[in-house]
Amino acid sequence: MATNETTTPHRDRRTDLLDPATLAQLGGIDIIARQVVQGFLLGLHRSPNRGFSAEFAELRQYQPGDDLRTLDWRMFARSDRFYVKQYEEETNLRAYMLVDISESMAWSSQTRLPSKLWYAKHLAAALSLILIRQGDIVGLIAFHERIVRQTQARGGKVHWRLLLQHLNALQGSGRTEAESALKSVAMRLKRKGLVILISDLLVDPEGTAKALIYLQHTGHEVLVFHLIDPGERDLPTTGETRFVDPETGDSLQVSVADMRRQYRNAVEEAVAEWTAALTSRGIAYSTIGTDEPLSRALRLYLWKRQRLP
Amino acid sequence: MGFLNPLFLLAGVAVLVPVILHLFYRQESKTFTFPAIRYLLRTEKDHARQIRTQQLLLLLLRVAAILLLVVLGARFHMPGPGGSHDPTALALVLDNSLSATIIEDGRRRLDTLKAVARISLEAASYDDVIWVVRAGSPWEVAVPVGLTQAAQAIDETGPSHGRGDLSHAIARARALVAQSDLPRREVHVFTDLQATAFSGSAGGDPDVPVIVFAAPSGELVNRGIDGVSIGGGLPPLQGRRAEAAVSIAGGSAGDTVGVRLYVGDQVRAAATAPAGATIRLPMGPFPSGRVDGYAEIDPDPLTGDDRHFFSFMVRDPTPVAAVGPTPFFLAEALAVLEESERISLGGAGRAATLINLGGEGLQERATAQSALVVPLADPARLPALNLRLAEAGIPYRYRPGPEEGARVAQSDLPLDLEGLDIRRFYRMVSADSAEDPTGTAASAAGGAGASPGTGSDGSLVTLSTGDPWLLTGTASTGPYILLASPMDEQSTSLPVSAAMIPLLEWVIERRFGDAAGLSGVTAGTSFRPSPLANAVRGPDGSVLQVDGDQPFLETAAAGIYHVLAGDSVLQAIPVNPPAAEGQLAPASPREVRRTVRGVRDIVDDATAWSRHIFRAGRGPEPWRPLAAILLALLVLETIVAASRALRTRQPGA
Repeated sequence: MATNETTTPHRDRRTDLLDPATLAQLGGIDIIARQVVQGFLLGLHRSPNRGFSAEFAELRQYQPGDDLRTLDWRMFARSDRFYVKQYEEETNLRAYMLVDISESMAWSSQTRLPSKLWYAKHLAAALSLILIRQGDIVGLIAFHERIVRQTQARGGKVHWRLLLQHLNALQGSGRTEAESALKSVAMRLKRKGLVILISDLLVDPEGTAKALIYLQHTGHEVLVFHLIDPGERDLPTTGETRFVDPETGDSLQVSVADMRRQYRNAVEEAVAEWTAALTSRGIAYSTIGTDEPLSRALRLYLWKRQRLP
Repeated sequence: MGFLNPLFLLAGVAVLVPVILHLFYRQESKTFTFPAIRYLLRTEKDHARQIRTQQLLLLLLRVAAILLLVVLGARFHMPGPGGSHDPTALALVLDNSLSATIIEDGRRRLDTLKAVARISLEAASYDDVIWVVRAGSPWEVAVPVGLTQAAQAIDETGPSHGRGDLSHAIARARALVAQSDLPRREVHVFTDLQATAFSGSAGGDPDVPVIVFAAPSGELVNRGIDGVSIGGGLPPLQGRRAEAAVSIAGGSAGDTVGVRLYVGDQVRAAATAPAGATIRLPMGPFPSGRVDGYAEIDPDPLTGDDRHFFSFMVRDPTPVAAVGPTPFFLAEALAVLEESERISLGGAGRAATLINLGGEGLQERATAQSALVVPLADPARLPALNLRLAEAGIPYRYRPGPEEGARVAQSDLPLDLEGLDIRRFYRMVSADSAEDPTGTAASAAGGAGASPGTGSDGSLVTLSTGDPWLLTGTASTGPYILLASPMDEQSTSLPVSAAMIPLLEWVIERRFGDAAGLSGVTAGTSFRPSPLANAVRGPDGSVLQVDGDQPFLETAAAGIYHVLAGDSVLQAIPVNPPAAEGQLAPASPREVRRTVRGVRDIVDDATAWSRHIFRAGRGPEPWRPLAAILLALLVLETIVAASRALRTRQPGA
């Protein structure tokens, strides 16, 4: 019971754990991003796996597995306890946020649930903040069938503000043509870095996978966040329904009752195909539900970041 | 196979509803923006066949359910018997003749027939019209009745000691059902198939199907009393002994049977006789008066013919008077009979029998007197004779006969008359055709037949020319016998033959013989009671009123029927089974089909009877299995549809 009493207030402060619907009520993208990152980093302090922090460099009690080079011998002399120092690391990581802004990203299955685009923008903002705080430089590329906006990779809070402005301005439009967009990105990104793709991947799987693998081959580390609305996992409606693709206008009339189970299986198969196609080539891939807290995506990023050279 | 309510089949067009819905109607669908339509397309591609199969299954289930519902509503019925049928005019012919009283395996055959008849009634419906016709007596007017009354009539049908005439009964049944306007007609016959029951070809519409239930019978050897003759056909005289000749028919060779003779309720004689023989048992002497009794043999399975009733009047010598010029040989014969105390000669006033020579004295006779009319040799006396006949109400007239002689061709008398030489005779014609100069003897015989009288009325002896030689009848003035030839040796050899005295005695005493009932009546036939009678008491003691000279028909039971006038017994009529009923040999199915055209089935298995009747109608309505199938279809349809509905209501399922 004691654990609960101490944990619950702490979790209440963890805005990264809030569901997106609640999170969307907190305010603008900058506030949300900051709150999420703060909550996320607050959680990291309690984790033995947390490795670095830029603004919050501090001492922390040594735990098995910590790099011995970071031991603060001075604190050991004073307190006879081992502490490790956490530095504001100087990195040269160049990260690119590839945000899919196609029409499909603007869709949400529920009115209270934010759209995939909202989720993508806030995820990109939070990731950017973490990266910039670490001293990395972050760029932004928004695309649908072509690149709509490209923001050069830079660091610093001012640049983050600029990123936020650009993210805020993004609107869902156009069709997704990830393959050509990714190839275009590969051509434009001369320096190697971390490419984070945030998309619903309602694209041609084969071509898109090839483009991502091409990016990987050109020396980039690739991290793919596959955003899935809960309504895309399970058909969100009932009865006879005419489904209309917001991007193409194609429609299909089906009886949901007849299709529900098969549809769910089809989604799982598609995800499995994506997983098999990307992870086998070293590309980090994860599905993120738009009803899930942002912390999950951040944790995945952290996991990927730790493995970068 | 068919439908009781075929109009309901029109509801079958309802099957078009699910078909049309399936083919043309799509549920009012909502439009839903959905970016992941590629997954739907993938699903549609992979599972379209399964979905189509499921929808087709639902369609088939619904169509099948509707069709079954229509079939049930139209009241489908199978082919063959066992179920309902079209309204049918049904005649049940029940053979309750004497042979049906035979007892086999502890059960009376008639009861078996009645049980099968009840199966017909159970299979019949309230829309049917039923006649119950008995092949044996009593004859009754058949009226169309319903199920309940028909069952009652079957239950009340008792055995008859009379003969069953199936040919006539079937023809009658066919005629009855033919008058109905119902769409179906059937005649069900329940019989033991006794060969003697088929007297001739059964008429009627052969298109009316006849289904015969023939009660199975084993190899039975029957024996019965063929007849009992008291005193050689003449009633015994008071104080004299007599003989009863009991004829035993049937039985196996070497078989012996005990014979007992009862007078009243007492055994008067008993003996053992071989089967097929005639045994003579002594009886008497009796005092004057009526004697009722019966002869009996040891019982066998058919007991109805094991007893034979008789009744006779013990009498004093008959007072006889001859009126008119009596021929020599006639006078001598009467003298012989008087000497032997068979008759007593006296005046016409006290005579019971008058011998009217040339018709003299006819007009003066009393009603109770019988008359033997003998013509005279002189043809010139014929007009006077005919005048007297007319005055006496006797409906015959004498006409000159042919010149050539004749022989006796047929005789109903228990006498040997074949050797008689009839050299001269007059023609006796009916009074109706008497004015016809071309009137023939045949018309005379027909006229005699037309005259009311008992069963023995008409020509007693017929000549080789076809002319009657001895006629009998009963006029309003009393009974009479007419002789065609003068009783002299020139006209006929009778006066000088050995038959003269027996014939004379028989003719004189015939009146008493009739009164004594020696001739008897066959069960199931009618007899004419005395005009003075007002009631008849049956063997069971029941008394039935009779009206005037109408024939008495209720002679189904063997026994002695007493004709009453108030408290007085006028006549005692012994009624006995027909001898032919003791012949149990069954007719073969081929013989039955030859005799009765249109026989569809002959069934000897009671359990199979229901399969053979109402076959032109409808079989059973299999509504139970159809309803079960319909229920199963509906359950299956509900499961399939509910699984869809469940998925529809539970998006997360």
